[in-house]
Amino acid sequence: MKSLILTYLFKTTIVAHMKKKAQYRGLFPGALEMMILKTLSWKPMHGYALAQRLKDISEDYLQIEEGSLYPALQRMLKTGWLETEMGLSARNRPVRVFKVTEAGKKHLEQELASVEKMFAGITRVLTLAEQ
Amino acid sequence: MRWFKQLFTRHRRYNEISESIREHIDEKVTSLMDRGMSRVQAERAARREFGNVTLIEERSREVWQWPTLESIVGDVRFALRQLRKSPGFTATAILTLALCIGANAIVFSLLYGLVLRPLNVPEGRNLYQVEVGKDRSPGMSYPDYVDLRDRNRSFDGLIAYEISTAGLDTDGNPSPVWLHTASGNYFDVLGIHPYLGRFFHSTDENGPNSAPYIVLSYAFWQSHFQSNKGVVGRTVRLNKFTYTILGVAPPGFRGTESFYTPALWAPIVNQQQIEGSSNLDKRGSQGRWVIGRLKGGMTPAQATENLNSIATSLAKEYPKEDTGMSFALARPGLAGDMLGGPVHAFVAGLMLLAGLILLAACANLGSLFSARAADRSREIALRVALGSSRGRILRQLLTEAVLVAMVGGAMGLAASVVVLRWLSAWQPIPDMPINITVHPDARTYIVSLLLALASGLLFGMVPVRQVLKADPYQGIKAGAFEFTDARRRVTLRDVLLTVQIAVCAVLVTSSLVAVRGMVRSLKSNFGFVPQNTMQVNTDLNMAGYSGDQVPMMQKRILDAVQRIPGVTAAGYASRIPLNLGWSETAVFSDSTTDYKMSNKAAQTIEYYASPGYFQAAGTTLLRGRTLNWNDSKKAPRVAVVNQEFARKLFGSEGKDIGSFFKIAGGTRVQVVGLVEDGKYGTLSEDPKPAMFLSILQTPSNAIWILVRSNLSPQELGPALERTLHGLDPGLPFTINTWEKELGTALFAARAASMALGVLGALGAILALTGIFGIAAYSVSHRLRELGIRIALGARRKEVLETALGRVFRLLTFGSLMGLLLGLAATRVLSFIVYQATPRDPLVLTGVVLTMLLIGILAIWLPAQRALSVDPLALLREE
Repeated sequence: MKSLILTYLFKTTIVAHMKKKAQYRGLFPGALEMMILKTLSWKPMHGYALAQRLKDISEDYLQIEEGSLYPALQRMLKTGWLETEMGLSARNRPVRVFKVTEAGKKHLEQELASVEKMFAGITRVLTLAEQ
Repeated sequence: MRWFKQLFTRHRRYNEISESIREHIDEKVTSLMDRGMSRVQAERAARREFGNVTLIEERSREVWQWPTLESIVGDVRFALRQLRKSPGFTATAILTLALCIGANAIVFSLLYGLVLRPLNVPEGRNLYQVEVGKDRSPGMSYPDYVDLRDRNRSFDGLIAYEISTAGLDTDGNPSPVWLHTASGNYFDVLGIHPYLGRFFHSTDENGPNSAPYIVLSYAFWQSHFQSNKGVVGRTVRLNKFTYTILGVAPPGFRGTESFYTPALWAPIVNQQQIEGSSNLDKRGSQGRWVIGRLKGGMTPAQATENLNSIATSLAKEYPKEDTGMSFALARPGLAGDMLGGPVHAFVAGLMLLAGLILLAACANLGSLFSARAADRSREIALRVALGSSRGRILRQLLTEAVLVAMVGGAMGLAASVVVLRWLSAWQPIPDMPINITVHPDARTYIVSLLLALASGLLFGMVPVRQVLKADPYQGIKAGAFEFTDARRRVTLRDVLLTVQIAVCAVLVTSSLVAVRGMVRSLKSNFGFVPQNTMQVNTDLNMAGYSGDQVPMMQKRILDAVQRIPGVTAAGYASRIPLNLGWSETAVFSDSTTDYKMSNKAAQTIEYYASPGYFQAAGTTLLRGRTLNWNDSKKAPRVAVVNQEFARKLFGSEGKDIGSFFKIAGGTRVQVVGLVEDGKYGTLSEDPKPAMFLSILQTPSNAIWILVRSNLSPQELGPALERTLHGLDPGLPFTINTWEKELGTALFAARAASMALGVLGALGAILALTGIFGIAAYSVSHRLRELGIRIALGARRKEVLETALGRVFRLLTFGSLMGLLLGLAATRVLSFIVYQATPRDPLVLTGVVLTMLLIGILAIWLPAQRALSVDPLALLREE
């Protein structure tokens, strides 16, 4: 179920966001942060790897302008959901790696729960509205 | 506190963002090259896919910023740059404000130190001075005090104390010290706890001379006992009597008067030993100052009512002394209303003037800033045209103003701290611990800061209207030129300048009146000649003499002093004129038999003088004879009186010599001589009757010896010292020139003149810079017009009239208004400064000349510039 929702989110909101930021913000505030948290809790990554990973899983739905990740990453650093440490890139270069903190994990769980609830509601309405 | 930490770690963050982005792109380039791209192609592709690096960096940084703060910081940076560009303007503005805010900080500290600050004791606001009678004098007799203390229901405690001197001997070398004799409950009622040892209490009072204890002040303990903690329990000799040091008062406690710092406190019941005589049992002898701590929940009005009901019953019990007695409450600290009244009025007046000066400075700076805004009208128009909001531009201008105000305020405050430190250490009166502590504290700092901020906003607001109505299109088209101002009849700038000139003229008028009064009072006839005279103040009681020994020793001293080569005359008296304090007494005509106060013929100042006194003082004898050695105890009572005395008692002159009058108690006194009138209490007093009785007939322990000589003070001083030490090495005394001693009488007038002089000078400087600013602005903004006029053949006079006529008219109008206001204001001064009359042709001329001089000085440079306009150069510039 979760992965289904994630795919859906990617295909709707994130794509929209990447194409037209203002619209996205009105739709799902916090969605991008959720994606980043989810991806980084799988494995701490540096900016380029994160962008690549997002691009890969979202297939072609996500026309990513890689730079746009950075303000979001900074916001999350400031809130304390992420932290940075030095690590190695795939090419063994020293790079700054983003890592999810305890607070970040907690936040992700809460967000996922509330999104699930929301989708359950929406699905219910969409399926039952015309019956 | 995280935001606080972030504020300082931000630079690291910024670097990290840039680093991360760089790493990102490097990785990407490498991976693209792996796929077969050339480096150039890969770099280009990487950047394209990443997006606008600068913009993204900025967005990422913004996350860490405080948007308002950052833009204010930006404003401040820009303001600093702008101000650096015009150093002359900046320096003028900052200096002006520094002077004015400094002056305000000083006057405020004075106001706080003298008027607003309660005594430095716990809950000092509950303390009230009890004043006696309709004239609200602070003095009360000891028996009356005791009755008030025991019968009142409105005070938690009433204390009595007196300023006194005694000879203190710690190591065989006695010297006079100033102290408070105080009632036993003094420290307990005030709520003071000892720094060392203990204080004396009511329980120590068991009749006259029963409590031979002293408590040292902290400062005296430091200076005379080297902060030795072993002093408690040590004995010293006070006027040759043995006293035990009980303890040391805490550092912050300076007694119950804010102008007087006692060296020590001694119980009032020991008055006889300390002062040589005691009047504690005499209900008619006033002189104790009384302070009470009001009970919680009592209002001062209720307390006054309570005290007055006691006064009514005392009047019934003691009709002779207490009839008609009444009490009132006043704020303690300045001898009640005696000093408090005039000091409050004067300091409040000073505060008003200082405030006016700051206002004038704001007007001044306001015009400077608005001139500057006009100068920058092109820049502002451009910014408005490019889409900047007017609010943003105003914020920028206000930032500049507040910045200038803050820097100026800080500088002014720093200067005021220096002056206040000096003032606090200043002892205006020789040999007496009179001084005022006006140490700057948090209040001074806060007030200065607020004043700086307020004035910054005030003068920063002046150009607001100008900016708001600016039309960017016109501004860019016409350049900095506007002729609109000239067409309008009265502009804000004109009003500001006029107000400022008026304020300046008020200040110049009052300071000239004060200075002129000072000069006059120094030249006026004192009724004695202080030049070439030294005075020696000694108290034989302090050296252990008593009874008949006293006059004998005094005669020996006088004889020895007269034998010093170079001494032309010497004499002594119980008091000398124009010294601190004087004693007045009632005299009756010879025919009076009932010596009630209502039957008195005059209230007269009394002196007890020795033979030779008038010659030594330089007082002219008009008729009859002076006092001589035959006017002794056995001889009939005689007196020398002044002209005013003769007029009051005997009507026409000529009947005086040989006439009799009576003093309190009915003793007949014969007038043997008539001397000129003089000044006795203060320089500004009206002529007062005075009588000089023979000191041989009424001996006094404390005397002032006047020594007239043709020696310099440096020669006579040591000679006097040697002579006195030769007679008795244990004799405490002080030597001073009489002119220096007169500083006491002139102190108030001097302080007033000095304060007004400084404020006047400040006002003049402000007017000067203000007029200069306006004139320079007026010329520089009409340069092109002036150039055209000159090109068309205008004469020098016409050019000047065009450029500066308006400024000059404003100057004349403002000066006139200020002069009139100043004349009204100086009426207040006549209470402090001798013969301070504003209707003095010299003062009037002085004010007009000063203002004219200020005007000419201020307009000189702009006028030169207007006259030297070169039309060709101007036209070429366009």
